[in-house]
Formats: sequence, structure tokens, C-alpha cells
Amino acid sequence: MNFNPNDLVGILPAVILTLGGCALMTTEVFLRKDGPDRRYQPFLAAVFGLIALYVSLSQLGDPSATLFAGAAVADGIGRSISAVVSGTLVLSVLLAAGYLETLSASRGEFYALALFSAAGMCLLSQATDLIVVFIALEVMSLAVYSLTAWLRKGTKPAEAAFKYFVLGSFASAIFLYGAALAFGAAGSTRIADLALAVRNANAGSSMLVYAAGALLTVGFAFKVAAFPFHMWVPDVYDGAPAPVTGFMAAGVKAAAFATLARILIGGFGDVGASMGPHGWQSLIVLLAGATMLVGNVLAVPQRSVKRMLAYSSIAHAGYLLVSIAAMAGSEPRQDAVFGLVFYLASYAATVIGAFGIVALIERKLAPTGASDDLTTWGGLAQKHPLLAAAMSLFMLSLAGVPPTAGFMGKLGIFRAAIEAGLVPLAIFGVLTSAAGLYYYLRVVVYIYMVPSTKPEPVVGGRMLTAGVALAACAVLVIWMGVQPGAFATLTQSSLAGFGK
Amino acid sequence: MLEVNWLHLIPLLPLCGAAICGLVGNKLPKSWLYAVALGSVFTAFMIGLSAFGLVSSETGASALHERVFEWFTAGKLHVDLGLTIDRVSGTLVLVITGVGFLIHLYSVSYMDEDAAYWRYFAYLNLFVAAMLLLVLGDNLVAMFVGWEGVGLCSYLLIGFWFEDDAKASAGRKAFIVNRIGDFGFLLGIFVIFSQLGSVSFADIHGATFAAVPAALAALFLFIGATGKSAQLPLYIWLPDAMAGPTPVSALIHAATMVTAGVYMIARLSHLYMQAPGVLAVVAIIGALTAAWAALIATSQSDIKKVLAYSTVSQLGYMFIGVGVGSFVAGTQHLLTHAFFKACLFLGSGAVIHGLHGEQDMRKMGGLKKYMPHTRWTFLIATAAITGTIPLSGFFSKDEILGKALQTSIFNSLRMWPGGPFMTQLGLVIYLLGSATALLTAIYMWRCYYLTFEGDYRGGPDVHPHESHWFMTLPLWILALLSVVGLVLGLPEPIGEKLHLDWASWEHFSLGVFANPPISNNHESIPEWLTYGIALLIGVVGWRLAVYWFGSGSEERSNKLVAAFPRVHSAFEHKLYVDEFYNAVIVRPLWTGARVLWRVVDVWIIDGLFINGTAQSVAFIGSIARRFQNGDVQRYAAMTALGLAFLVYVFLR
Repeated sequence: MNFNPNDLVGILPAVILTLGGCALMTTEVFLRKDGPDRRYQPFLAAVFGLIALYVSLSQLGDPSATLFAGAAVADGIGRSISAVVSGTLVLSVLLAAGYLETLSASRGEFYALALFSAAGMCLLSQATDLIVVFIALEVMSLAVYSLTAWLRKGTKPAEAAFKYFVLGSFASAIFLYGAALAFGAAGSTRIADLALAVRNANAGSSMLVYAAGALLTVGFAFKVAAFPFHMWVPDVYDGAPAPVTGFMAAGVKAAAFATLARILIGGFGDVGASMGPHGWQSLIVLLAGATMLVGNVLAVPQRSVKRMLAYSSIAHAGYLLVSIAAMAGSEPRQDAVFGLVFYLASYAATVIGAFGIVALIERKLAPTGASDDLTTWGGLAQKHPLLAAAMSLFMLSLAGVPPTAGFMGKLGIFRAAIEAGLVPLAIFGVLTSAAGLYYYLRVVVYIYMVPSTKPEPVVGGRMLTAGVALAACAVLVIWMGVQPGAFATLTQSSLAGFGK
Repeated sequence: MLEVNWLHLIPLLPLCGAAICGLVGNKLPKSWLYAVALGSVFTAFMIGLSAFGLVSSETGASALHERVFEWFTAGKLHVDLGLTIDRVSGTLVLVITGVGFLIHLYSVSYMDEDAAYWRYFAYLNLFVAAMLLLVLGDNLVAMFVGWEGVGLCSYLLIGFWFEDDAKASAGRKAFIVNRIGDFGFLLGIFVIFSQLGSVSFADIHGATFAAVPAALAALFLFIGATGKSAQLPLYIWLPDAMAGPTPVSALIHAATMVTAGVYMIARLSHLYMQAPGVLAVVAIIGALTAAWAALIATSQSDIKKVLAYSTVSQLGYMFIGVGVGSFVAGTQHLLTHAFFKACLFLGSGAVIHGLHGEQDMRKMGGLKKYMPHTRWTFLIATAAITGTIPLSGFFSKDEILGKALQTSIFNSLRMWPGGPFMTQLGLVIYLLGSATALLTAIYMWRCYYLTFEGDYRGGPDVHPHESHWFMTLPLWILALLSVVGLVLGLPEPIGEKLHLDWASWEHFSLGVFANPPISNNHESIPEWLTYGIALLIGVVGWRLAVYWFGSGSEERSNKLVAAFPRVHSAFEHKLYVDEFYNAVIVRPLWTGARVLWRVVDVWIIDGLFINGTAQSVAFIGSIARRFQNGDVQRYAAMTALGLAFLVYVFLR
């Protein structure tokens, strides 16, 4: 394999993010501990994120290209996901800045790790070789494991990170097993070659290919938190620092879903929609239904908002799986791909905002060691009317109430599902999301209607930075809800080069 | 039809005024707020005047049109927000903004002491905007938006003093009764849309309907009109609507909103001409309402209630006019009535204001000494409404009765299938209308004499006084208009002699309405005879009122009451209609609602559906939580089980 330096342009966002990570590591060497000059680190990280965002947006319309002799691809969905991931990174580091400072955990490695994991996510969304997929997956995951354990006080972060690491490694192993079987069946780890093997498979040799498909799917079903591989989510989301949780929920999900779609459509597209043996559509339908049900039902009894959001992220994984099921076919259904990308973007804006506000509450509670029970949200509207309004907006968006981004996202996905003939699944999804209204609106009820016994202000510095990030999230949520057409370039160019 | 791009300013300006007054009105200085509220209506009036000038010139366009924006498209239904001014809607725009401005001016003084004056002016401006949209809309849907908008403002203003329970419930009553009518209006729109595939007036204008759909649409729309324009059987909200501030009664519940039903039927004259049976219903309902309300008005002692029933009665006349196919006569009475009834209401408001809130005519009397301006203007308006020659009311009312006598539109209708033709219906309506005219003269002169003549009967601690010129100036202008309005209805020979024939409403509005059929009934009755009869009726009514209610006639009126105690009591209690509705409609509804609440809602919906769902979710949740115990081994086991299942499905 000969290395063509021009191919680096195709993965430019990942390259920029990697360079940014290296830069931040370097600053850490030269800066004094707890000096005032390290205050610019989050902004440096945000600048690299913004550049990556700009690059991926400016490349959106470009023709797709195969990179590194088929190991990766620069296509529409990769660029869209890179844009979502870069935006996620920018908003997350801005929200993390004040949080870390207040909890005296502000160090450059945090931002370096965030940048590296974002680079992994971008690369993951572009990988077309199972080996590259695995490497990108691990780059992303190892960085996220470390971020989860960032706060070293107390047992919760360590426990969360360890669980994540153990179970994540388990899932990676399953994926790797699948990749090995795929190599056995196709003689190559390229997804395109896998597709050839699927097409040429006869009764005798099909076993190996489909076993590979099952194992690869499970590997990513774990990362996107689909039932029954979702069990790590509540513990990890709850234990991780809230800004990290937001970053995980938005970024990891985006990259993992893109890759899952790429493997299922690119590798097994030919047998997708056939409902008989080996058609994966019916399987994803089952997973989606179960995931939506379990996520929504288990979110109902939660008293901690952060934990509730963790279960809600499982439910959202279920909605996203609906779009994967709707894509099924050798050529992916357009509206399902658009729906997937739009939903990922809208969910990112919403969930980062929601976890950003959770982070503000969390840093107030951190000294007392209490969890963010619903009662601590009481009286927020009196003390911080803007925060209260923003949180209500995010809750409405998660619940899918117009005119928010969440509504347009759900609309797109369920419409695609109906177009694809998955009417019962769409109806089931709408019903479960209606049930979701209960626990989302309960937060709003507490914010506005339950008076606080002793309303305390949110403490700590960098409120302006967090405020800007939250405002950006809120604006995006409304904008995507009111004028989804403005994001058409982001979603519609995602189709370019996707599929075979 | 001339396409212009500035018509939208007419409703938009009062709308902006309403937004400013409502949103920041309590922070603005009072004078600024008045400038905004009055200025926006006055500017709209000036724009309306220039539009009116364009359409009323002989050489100019017959109508102006503006397509403001495409509102929505849903399947076949395509609705633009379009505005049209022709000679009729142009005149109405002037009435709405002109009379509206006068009433705004009057309100500055009337509402000065109210703490919520800013809210009042916001509602009033919003009303003007909605009413303008109703009149200007070039399709039924746009008109319906205005129709609902005025209903909303009416509700808000009737219940303006919502701390008072009775006033708040009067507002609710008006809203609910209007909603019943609005339901009919909507059904009418649906029928027209299903027949025509369009809701624009221009399309309806030229369309030919089959008999049954035409009758259905016309009837449904008329049900809407009976709600908004307070006709039998839905008139009951209007007397209660007097709970609102008096200027509101003058503007909304006399001059403009309540006439919307008449305007709508006139605007759809081409549809109604295709449904003569419905026109007969309209005329009969109008005549019955006119007589019914006039009977009740004779025995009311609250000055505003008298005027309210008088309004219901006069609206009945307008429906007679459109019902007998003379859309010209109906709308002409609409215009003159707007002037003299607004004047009467504002006069009553000045009286109430001067007496510190007293509305009972039994505690008034002799006020001409204290309020000369109010008295003279009230006298002129009373003369106009009672049909005294040559004031405007005489001609417009006589035009209606004359057309009722001559109409031939019912000739083709049978009383029942195979029964005789209804050729004499016009005559019956004429007689009923003339009897109502007598009653009108009696109750209006009674109202005047009890209020202004004789000796003051109120308490010694009330000192009647004349109002500020902000209030008397509008009174004089409206009184003047009640007189000048006569040019609309001058008989042709006289009009030609005075060179005022161009101003005659029949001539002016030519081409807007459907033509009434050529008259052939009762042609032998000459015009001077009907004029003479009308004049005689007016004089007799006046003399009777003086005899019974003039100064020093207490004994006679008491005797009259003593002679017919039960009749008087029935009239005083508004013929027990509210009680009847209460027993027949409201109570059964309450009972039904209680059953729905206690049984269906509490047991089935709350108990079974809501709590049942919640309990089942909690049950599922409690089971699922067992797996979620924080144990990594168990998580890994679940993952492995899931993997096994997936592999099985893939390989199956």
C-alpha cells in the first residue's frame, strides 16, 4: 500500500483535532501548575474544534473520494458527522471550562483527551476498513474512558470509568471477533469486499459472513447503547463529569451510528430489507422497539435528572435505530439517511445543552456530595430565569415538542419509517415518545412550580463562557426546529458516496 | 379591480397600536399611550379615506385589492390573505375607523380613572384591527379570522372588570353563545368549499350552486349571523354584554361588530339570492326578533338594557332588509343605525358618568338642566331612531318596510310541499315591522322622557354634571351624522332636485350586491302612503309615550302597570328566555357534564387509562430495575445473552 499525502486532506478534521491535542499536551509541559495562564486552554481547544468544524462544513459539498487505498473514505456522511462531532467538542469544552475550574480539576490533558477522542470519532465515521474502524474506535473509547474518570475525588467516577472500560473492552473484543470472521469469509477487512462476499455467499459459506455481521452489529449496538447492551449507560453517564456525559452522549453516538449504518448498508446492504433469513432489518426493528420501550420506561422512576437523561439517551438510541431500520436496502433510503444525520445534530445540540445545565447544578452540589435530585431543581426559575427557560427548552426538544429541533428530528425519522413501510414501528415509537413527555415535563414542573426551600445561586467562575455555549445550544435547538431547511446542506450532502 | 400594496396598513396600524398598548402600555406615559391608540386609528381612517376616494370616484376603479401574502395551501384548499375595498366595504371602513376614533376619544375621558386604561385601549385597538379584517377580507377564511377576532375582543371587553363575577360571566356567556353561531359559520364555509373548491368572495360571486347546497350553506352562515348579530334564538348575550364599559357597548355592541352578520349576508348576496327559502327564514327571524326585543325594551328600567334590546330590535330590521332581498336597504340601515345608536349609547354613558354609575332610569329625570349637550344629542338620536321625518332613521327604516311590502322573492315558495305560495309573506313582515316601529317610538321616547324630562329623582348626594368636551364632541359629531345620514336614503325625486342623488346608497352601492327581483306585489300602494303611515306611527308612539311617561304622568303609568300586572312582569323578566334556556339547555348540559366528569373522567380515564398506565409502567420498571443493580458481571452476562440472541437470529 502506497501512502499518498494528499489523502490527508480527506481526513483533515481528524488531523486538525489530533494536532490540537498534541498542542494542548505541549502547553501542559510549559505551564505552571494552577497558574492563571492555563485559563486559555479551553479556548485553545475550542479554536481547534472550530477550525475542524469549519473545514468539515466547507468540504460538505465536495465529491467523495476513496482514501488510503480504500481504508477510509471522504464522503458526505463522514463530513456531516465530523461537523457534528467538532461542534459537539467546541460546546463541550466551553461548558467544561468553568466546571473543572470550580472543582479544581482544570488541566490541559482534559482538553487534549477530548480532542483526541473527537479525532477518533471523525476517523471512525470515515473508516471503511474494519481494522481502521477498530483503531478509531479504540482511540475514541480510551480517551472517553479517561475523561470519565477525570474527577478523582470520590468513588463514583472511578467506578463508572472502570465499568465502562471493562464492558467497553468486552464489546471491542466482540467486534474484533466479528472482524476476524469477516476476514475469514471475505479474505479482506474492507467493508466493500465484505459486500462482495455477502453477494456471492451460497448456502455453505453464508454462515461465516452472517456470524460476522451479528458480531459487528453487537459491537456497535453496545456503543450506541441499544437494548440489551445498554446496561452500562446509567452508571457511566451518572458517574462521569456532566460536561463529559454530554460529550459522550452526543459525540460517541454520532460516530457509532454513522459506522453502524456504514457496516450494515455498505457490507450487508444486499440482504437488508429481505425479511427472510439473514435480513437484518427485522432485527434492527426488534432492537429499536425494545430500546425505545426500555429507555422510556426506565427513565420514568428516576429522581436524578442526570440519571434520567442517561435513560433518555437509551430511548433516543432507539429512535435512531428506527432510522437505521428504515434505511435497509442495497441503496440506503435517502430520507432515512437525512433523518439520521439531522437527528444526530439536533440531539447533540439539545443534550449538550441539557448536560451543560446539569453541570452547573452539579458544581453547586459537588462540595456536599449530594446527587442532583429533582428537588434541587426546585426554585431554579426564581433564581435563574434564563437557565430555567433554557432547560425547559431542552426538555421540550428531547420530548419532541414543536417548535424545537427534537420535534423536527423525530418527524424526519418517523416519516422515513412510514415511507419504508415500518408503520407499526413508527406508531410504537410515537407512543413511547409520548410517554417520555412525562419525565421530561416533570423537570419543567420542578423548575417552575415547586418552590425551593432555600434557593441557592449557581456557584463558580466562567459563567459567561458556559452561558455563551448554552445560548448557542438554545439558538440551535430553536433554529433547527423552526427552519430545518437551513440545515439541508448538512443533511442532504450526507448521502454523497454513501452506500456501495 | 386595481391591485395596490398599501391596503394592509389599514388593519395593521391598529394592530400595532394594540401590541404597543398591551405590551408596554403600563410603562408608557399616559399621553403617549393615548397618542398611539388614537393616532393609529386616526391614521387608518385617513388611509381608508383615500381608498374610499379612489373607489367612489365615477371614473376610478370599482374596487382596490391587495394580496398581502399566500396564507396556506392544504390540498385543494388555497387561502391567501387578501384585502378588498369596494364602495360598501370602503364605507364600512370609514364607519369603523371614524366612529371608532370618536369612541376612542370619548374613552380617554370615560376611562381616565381606571387603573387598567392601557389594557382597555389595547383591546379597543385590537378590536378595530379585527373588525377591519372582517370587513376587508377577500375570502371567507380571512373574514372568519376577523369574525373570531371581534368575538374575542368583545369577550375581553365585556369582562373588562373581571373582578366582578357577574361581569366576568356576562363575558363568558357572550363568548359561548357566539361560539354556537361560529360553528354554523364554519359549517357554511365547509359547504361552500366542498361545492366550489374555493372560499374567495370573487369565486362565490359568480358561482351557480345547486339548490340544496346553496340552501345549506346560506342557512349555516345565517346561524353564524344569528350569534354574532344577536338574533332569535341566540340574542340573549347582547343585553348581558352591557356589563362592559359603555363606550364598548357603543362601538362593538351597537355600531360595528353586531352588524357583521348583516354585512356577511350582504357580501354573499349572490349566494343568498340562490336560496330564497333561507331568505324567507332570515326575514321571518328578523321580523320576530325586532318585535320580540321591542316588547321587552318597553319595560326595562336600566337605560343600557333599553338600548341593548333596541339594538337587537334594530338588527332585526336589518335582517328584514336583507331577507326580503334588498341588500341595499339592509346595509343602509346598518350605516344610519351605527350613527344614531352609537350616539345614544355614548349619551347614556355620559349620563351614567355624570351620575357616578347610576343606570336606573327611575332614579334619573330632569337631567336636561344639568347636561344640555347630552340632552340635545340624545334627543336628536332618539328622533332619528323613532323614524321622525326627515332624519336618517326615517328613510332607512321606511326603505326596509317598503321593500318588504313590494318584494316578490317569496312568490315561488310554498308554505309546505304542495301548499299555497307565500305571496303574502312580505305583507305580514311589513305589518310586523310597522307594529315594531310603534313600539320603538314608545320605548325610546319613554327612555328620553324618564331620563331628561320631569324632575330629578335621584339621591341628594349625587350631583349630576356635564361631561368633558372629549365626551361631548363625539356626541355632537354623531348626532350630526344621524341627521346627515338622511342623504343615503332620500327618495329619488327629492334627491334629484337637491342634486344629492349621487349620495343615495342605492345608487352608490350599485353593482356590489345581487339585484333584487323586479317588484310586482302591491305595486298599487304608492310611496307617499307608506311614508304617511310611517309618520303617523311615529307620532302616535311619541304621544303615547308622553301620555304615559311624560312629566307628571306617574299615576297613569302606574295604572297601566296595575292593569296588566302579569304582562308587565313578563316583559320585565325579559319574557323568561334566560330561564327557559337554563332549564332546557344549560341544566341538562351540566348534568351530562357531571356524569362525564364523575364516571368517565374519574373512573375510566383517570382510573383505568392514566393510573393504570402509570402502574403498569411502574411494574415493568420495577422488574427491569432488578437487572440494573450496578453489578458489572450481570451487565456482561446480559450482553452475552443479547449477543447469543442476535447471532441466532442472523444465522437462523
